[in-house]
Amino acid sequence: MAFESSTYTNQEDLMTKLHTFAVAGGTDGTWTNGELDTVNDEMAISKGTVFVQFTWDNTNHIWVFQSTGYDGSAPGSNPGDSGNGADGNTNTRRVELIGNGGGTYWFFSNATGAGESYIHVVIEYTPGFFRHFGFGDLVKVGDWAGGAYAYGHTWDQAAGAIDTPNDSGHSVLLDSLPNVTAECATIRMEGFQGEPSASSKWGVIGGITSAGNDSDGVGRTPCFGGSRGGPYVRSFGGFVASALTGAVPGCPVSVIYQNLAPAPDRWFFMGYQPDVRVANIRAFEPKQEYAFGSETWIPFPIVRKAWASNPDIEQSGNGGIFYKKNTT
Amino acid sequence: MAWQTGTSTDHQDLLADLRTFLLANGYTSDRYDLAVNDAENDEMIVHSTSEDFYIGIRTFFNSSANAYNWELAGFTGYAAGNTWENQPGISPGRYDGLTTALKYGAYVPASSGTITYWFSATGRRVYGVLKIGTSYLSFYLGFLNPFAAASEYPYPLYIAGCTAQFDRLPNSGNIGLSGLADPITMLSNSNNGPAFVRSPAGLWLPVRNSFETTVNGRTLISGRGVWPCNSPIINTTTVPDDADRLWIESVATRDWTQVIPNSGNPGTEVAKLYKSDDSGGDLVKRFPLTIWGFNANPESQIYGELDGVFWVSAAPGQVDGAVTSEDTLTDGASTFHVFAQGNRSSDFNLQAIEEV
Repeated sequence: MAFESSTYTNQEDLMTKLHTFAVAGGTDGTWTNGELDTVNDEMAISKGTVFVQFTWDNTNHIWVFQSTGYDGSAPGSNPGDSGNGADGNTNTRRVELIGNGGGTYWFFSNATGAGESYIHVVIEYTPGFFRHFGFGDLVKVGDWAGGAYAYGHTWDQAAGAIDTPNDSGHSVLLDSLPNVTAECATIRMEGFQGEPSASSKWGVIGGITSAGNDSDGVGRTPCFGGSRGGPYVRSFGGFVASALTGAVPGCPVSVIYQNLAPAPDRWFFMGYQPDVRVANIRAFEPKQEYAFGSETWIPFPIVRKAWASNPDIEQSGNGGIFYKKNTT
Repeated sequence: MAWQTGTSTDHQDLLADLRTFLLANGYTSDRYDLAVNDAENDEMIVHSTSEDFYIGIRTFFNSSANAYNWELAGFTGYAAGNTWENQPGISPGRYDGLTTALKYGAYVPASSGTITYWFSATGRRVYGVLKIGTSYLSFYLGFLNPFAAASEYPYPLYIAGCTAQFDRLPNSGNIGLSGLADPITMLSNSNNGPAFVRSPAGLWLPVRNSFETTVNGRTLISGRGVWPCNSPIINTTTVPDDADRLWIESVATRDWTQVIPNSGNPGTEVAKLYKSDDSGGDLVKRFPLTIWGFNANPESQIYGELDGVFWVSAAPGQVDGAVTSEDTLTDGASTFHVFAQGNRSSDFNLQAIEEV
């Protein structure tokens, strides 16, 4: 089994249940325990080259850290830390403003050993309002060095942004839009032409042209993703269900490295986030399971399935994210 | 599944070679009439034995242009007593149409001289590429892989030549001589060809990414096209509804228009899509040619993908060099052959067909 859904009572309960789900004895059970520290509010797990750590404040946010290894240090201080995720910093990668009142969670993973490893998490932290975070290995095009990714979910609360789902102040999955580098998803990548230095090991996924440094002060590489734009969602995300067939295109969440130094720019297609599709959910009910052939997928809003003109509240229209439910 | 390469002596011999190939690989002959209207006018109609769709090609000669070409057509059946143009459900575009508008259709420029060809056939479709001089002329006849169940879309027939103009010559440098990845019609977005899809509602709909202008430039057509060379425009002022579009990035800085320009001849790209790194040799990412209609309710939808035909970039990788026409790509046990679209030589004007 690699799917679990239930309720959680607060941030600590959510992270405890995620840890239990992931490590030996849990529903997935294939991830390695790093720590679960409910005193200092820290959690760490790993699998293969995917090393992630979390902290939480029991009030508003869960921070998401990624590194190239784990030595028991506090999140943000482990070997090869990506640089995104700083405990207590509200301008860095986190699952933003989920409160501490509990809600419902969905854990999606692939524990079979075939295909890429990942855990993708959706929470409904208050009825109708959602957040997404996750980590795993990209479905790579080619066998370039790297592929481990991690992302949080930030949603700019400023007037004019909070109710504008394609605002660049938000960061959603592996995104094409966010312009706050420290809030973006990160991905391990090495050996590409045009990286800031020969020792660069991280890409930052967003709508950025400069990616800053990792925690070791090494330059990072700007990439762009595909959850709210990019070559698939820009093309097909606007399609509602066909009146004649009922079909809706499900867009892969792609990642492209963009070497901006030469002219023309050079794009390198890196791969896709596994078992996730972005699609228009006008015709779909959030949280409901849908069978497509032999597979079962569950759609969720990006933040909230609703639309009004300037309501000054989180909304994402019919933008949706489908997750594959793996039950074997 | 079958694959064949060879040479033919002229456009009529080429049709004979294709017919022989098809009849040996799952197709049934309905008509093969030689010199119907004149000595250059042969007609072939066949149907897929397994999938029961009907397709046809007829050869013709146009003396004013000295064109020895093919006209392609799809049908919904076959009536032995009917002329070509009166076959059931025939797709638009007759080389001998009474008006200029009626002539626009699905054509393949050919030759009265030697033609090198690559043919592929399965029960679901036929495609091929001709080489005449330095030009590559492509065609597709058969089913798409539809984005729908067979009960919803039982006849996803797609007919595509490489020019909408019946008397186009293979050595033309006009942008209206193109390929399967980037079909271009002539002079107006209301003109037909060079490709047609039979819609779920049973209509023949023209599929083209642009039309060639009077000065041999191009104007984008936004209502229906072939991805990725043409992408639906998420219009910021009209449809779809705000809730359906305003969660999507509104600026075209990270989409296909950066890599495949849709204005100019050939146009200037902002970015090139390089090969993906791989220790076994840099990988050429293939993108299936996808037929879409947008802002055309109730037919706003993805019709399907061409079976075995892809857009690929010519740009090199970090290690390996650029891709050029007649290169062979491998992916596991599959083999793909790369060809230019017509006489185009830009990095964004290649297509790959699978050897099956």
